[in-house]
Amino acid sequence: MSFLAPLALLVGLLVVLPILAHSLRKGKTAPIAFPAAHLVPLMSSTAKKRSRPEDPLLLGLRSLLVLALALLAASPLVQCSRLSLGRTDGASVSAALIIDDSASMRARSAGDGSRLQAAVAAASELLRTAQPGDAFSIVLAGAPARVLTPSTSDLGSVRQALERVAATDRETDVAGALALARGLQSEALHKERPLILLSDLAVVDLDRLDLKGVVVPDAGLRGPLQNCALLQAKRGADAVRVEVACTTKEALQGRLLQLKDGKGEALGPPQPAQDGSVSLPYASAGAGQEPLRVVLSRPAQEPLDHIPDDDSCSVLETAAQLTVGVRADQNTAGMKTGARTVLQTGIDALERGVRVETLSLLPDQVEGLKDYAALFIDDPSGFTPEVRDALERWIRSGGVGVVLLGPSIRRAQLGSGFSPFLTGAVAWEPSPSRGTNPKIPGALGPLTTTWSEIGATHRITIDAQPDRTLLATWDDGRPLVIEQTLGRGLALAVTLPSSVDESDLALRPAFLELLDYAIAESSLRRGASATRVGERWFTTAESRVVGPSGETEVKHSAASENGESRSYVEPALAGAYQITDGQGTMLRYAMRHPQEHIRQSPEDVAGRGVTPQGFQLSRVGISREVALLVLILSFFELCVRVLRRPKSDAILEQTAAYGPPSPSQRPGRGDLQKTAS
Amino acid sequence: MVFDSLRRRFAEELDSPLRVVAQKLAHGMSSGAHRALRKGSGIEFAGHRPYTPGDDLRHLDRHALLRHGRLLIREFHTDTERAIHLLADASSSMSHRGLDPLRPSKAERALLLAAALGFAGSGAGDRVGFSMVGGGEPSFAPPRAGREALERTISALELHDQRLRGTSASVPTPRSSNRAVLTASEITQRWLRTLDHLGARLPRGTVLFVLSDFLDWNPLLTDALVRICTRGRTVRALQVLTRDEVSFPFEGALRLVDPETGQEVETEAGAVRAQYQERLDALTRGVSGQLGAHGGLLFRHVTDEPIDSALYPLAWGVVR
Repeated sequence: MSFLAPLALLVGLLVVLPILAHSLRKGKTAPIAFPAAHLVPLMSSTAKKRSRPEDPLLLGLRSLLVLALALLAASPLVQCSRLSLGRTDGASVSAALIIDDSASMRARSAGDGSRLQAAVAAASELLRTAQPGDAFSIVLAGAPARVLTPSTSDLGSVRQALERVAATDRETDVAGALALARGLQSEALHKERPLILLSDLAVVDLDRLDLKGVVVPDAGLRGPLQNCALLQAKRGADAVRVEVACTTKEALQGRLLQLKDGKGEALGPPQPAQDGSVSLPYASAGAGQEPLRVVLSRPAQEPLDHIPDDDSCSVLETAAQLTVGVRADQNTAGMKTGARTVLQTGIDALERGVRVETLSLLPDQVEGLKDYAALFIDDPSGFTPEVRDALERWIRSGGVGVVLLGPSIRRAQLGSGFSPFLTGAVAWEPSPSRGTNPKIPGALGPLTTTWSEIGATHRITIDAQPDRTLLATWDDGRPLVIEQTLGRGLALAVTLPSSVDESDLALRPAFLELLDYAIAESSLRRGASATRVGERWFTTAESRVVGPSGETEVKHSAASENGESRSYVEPALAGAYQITDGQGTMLRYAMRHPQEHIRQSPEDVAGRGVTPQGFQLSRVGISREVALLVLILSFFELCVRVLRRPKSDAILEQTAAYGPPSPSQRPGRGDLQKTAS
Repeated sequence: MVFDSLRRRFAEELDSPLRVVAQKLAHGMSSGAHRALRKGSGIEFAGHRPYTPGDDLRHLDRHALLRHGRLLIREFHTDTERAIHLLADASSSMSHRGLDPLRPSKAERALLLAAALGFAGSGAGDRVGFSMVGGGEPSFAPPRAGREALERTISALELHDQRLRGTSASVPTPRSSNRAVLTASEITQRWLRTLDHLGARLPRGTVLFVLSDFLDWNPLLTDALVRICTRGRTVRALQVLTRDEVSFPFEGALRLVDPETGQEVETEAGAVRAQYQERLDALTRGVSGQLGAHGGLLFRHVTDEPIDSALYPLAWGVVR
């Protein structure tokens, strides 16, 4: 314990005063005039009692009172692990609490609460150290970042808002939350306006985050994550395809996937889980009607799973038939045995029920592509600017485009390019590699190992492609399949064409896995039945939405210039949502963000510009508690005095209430007599 | 409500001039003639006595003669004027008001009662005298008839009452030089002088009203008082006490100081309450018994009681 004004502790020396007073009063009890005193027996024990200090209980209370007052005057500060608001000069502050409510904050250690609960508890602790005049705002960092409470000094409403913070399956959007919080803080009039970030910081672009001046308390939110998550499950014709993501192989050990019906009963035997796609056989006459769930079971003890909430998911129903466009040269990419191209044959082999249309030319208007959920372009020579623009707009609107580059790039016209699939220089060169590494599967799936020894003599060499995900690589590390998310869509690029003359790429199972992946993604995007958690679904104001946690609020956007406001639903939890409006009932799905469940948080954020404020041990003033102690002691002292008061005093006080007559106030009988005479 | 009623009553007693209150009290009493000490030709039967030659034969009880064959003379009280003497205790102990400063002190109550008796006696044609013990030099005014004698007595009582106004028994301190602290022996001597003086001076048939707390009383004083009960004289005594002196309501450790003698007693109230009350009752019984044996009477009056409850027993010798 330390003190703000240690000299004030000298006040504690005054404790000798009550001791002295009580000691002096021993044997000096106020004498009472009593004419019959000589008739009262003397008691020697009374004299003995008077040798002790009078009323030890009162003496103790009064001594404690003096000591507590001295403590209060010294303004005690205790060193504790509580979080507290740092303030200089005692001025009030305006703090923005940025609480990450993304899916990664659901992680919990064994026996402990989740990271989100720890963050809320830390925010509550900070609120407890608030003083009158302090203002708080709460910004939630789950995508999209949003303001839960604008800056207010009404701490009660802030506490109530804190109680409403719930776990979600959102993606982390710390950057957006920081921007929102900075905007709020810019309007505050306080001198000190700290941004307090309560997040595990499990974000993709941590290095790009501007954390300068942001207070990042060590509230136990970061730590190694071990988790396996079911990202999505989609029903096919005779199987349910499940996407599983795990942080490590250890997290996957011994885990099984089980398909269950709406009543929770198992359908078929469990299948061993694996990182990536797993197909669970399922055939039912009522396929497409019965709601299904997939559960990722966990052995009793091991392995540890920090986010048990993502171990089950609803199975997506894809009833609408998708249309897939294929632009391929029959001469180079055609089958020797028929008139169909390799791509068309592969898509048909998937038996996903999609309709395949062949495009002779790529349209240069986005309207020409709007009917397609996916588009496969084989060995293009390049895209004109108009085509590139149409393709990008189409992909951003939810299309999935796959381009397989080949030797035709050598015939590229001036001004053509491969955007939005690739940027930078592209070259068709001899390949030093024979294929993928047969031992290391790519992110596309375990079948990518079948692309080893594919006999490619040449391949497309591309520059480094930032912001793109490698789904498969050559064994020399060069990209074979890369992916980029653009808006709601997906753009995939393969550095080999489908032509069997160039390589065995299209003849290996991994090629079908690639096609299936692209079509599955397109069905989620263009089918409009599934989106990621946090993405808005526009609906009508009268809609009733029932989600995994019950009825979900239909929100309304701010009115536009023409006064119109759009109603929407922002799913915060993964799962199926039933939307009922005037036109009927439809089912939509909110899917988990893949990386959100497996991304590790940084161990240390030092050196990233955060305020080097040690919040582990803070000096917290306890003057308020001491003042309360003083009040309690005063109350007890008063109670003891009242209880110990002699009855005679009580009688005197009773008569005093009527005002005892004093000689000066009352006319004497003699005076009146004189006046009368 | 009861407290308010008492408060108004006490305020009236304290705020009005002594003679006004006393006259009011005296008018409330029936102002009949006293019975004379001597038996004579009155109308109230006083008893029988054997016939002696020379007695008036009109008083011979013929029924007794016929029934018992004895000559008995019927005697009757003779209505006549007689002397009454008022002896009031004005010592320091009588200044005690008790725990309630609103109530009159014992001395104030005693002086008021004495004045009321004086008015009543004078109204009945009695001679009224006055003595006071304590509060300065002993004073003595022999019983005299007439308005001037009554005025002298009432004036003396008023003078003492004015001195007592607003004072209360307090603990004597070395600085309180105006208050003389007496020893028990000195108090006894003072009382003895007064009582012996009265015994010698009071005329035959005088009714002596003694108004005191009798707290400093001892057998010597009782004997002196009893000696007055001769020559047809009667003593009617009123022990005036405060409520705390009767009930001893204190709690816990106490330091009690006798305001008259300065005697200090440290005690534990709860432990000695019963013993104190026993001692007080024994003291009262001792005086009452001695007086009763000689035709006297002793009543106890507590200052928080209505004054009537003390006045009537004093005047008629019975409790109404």
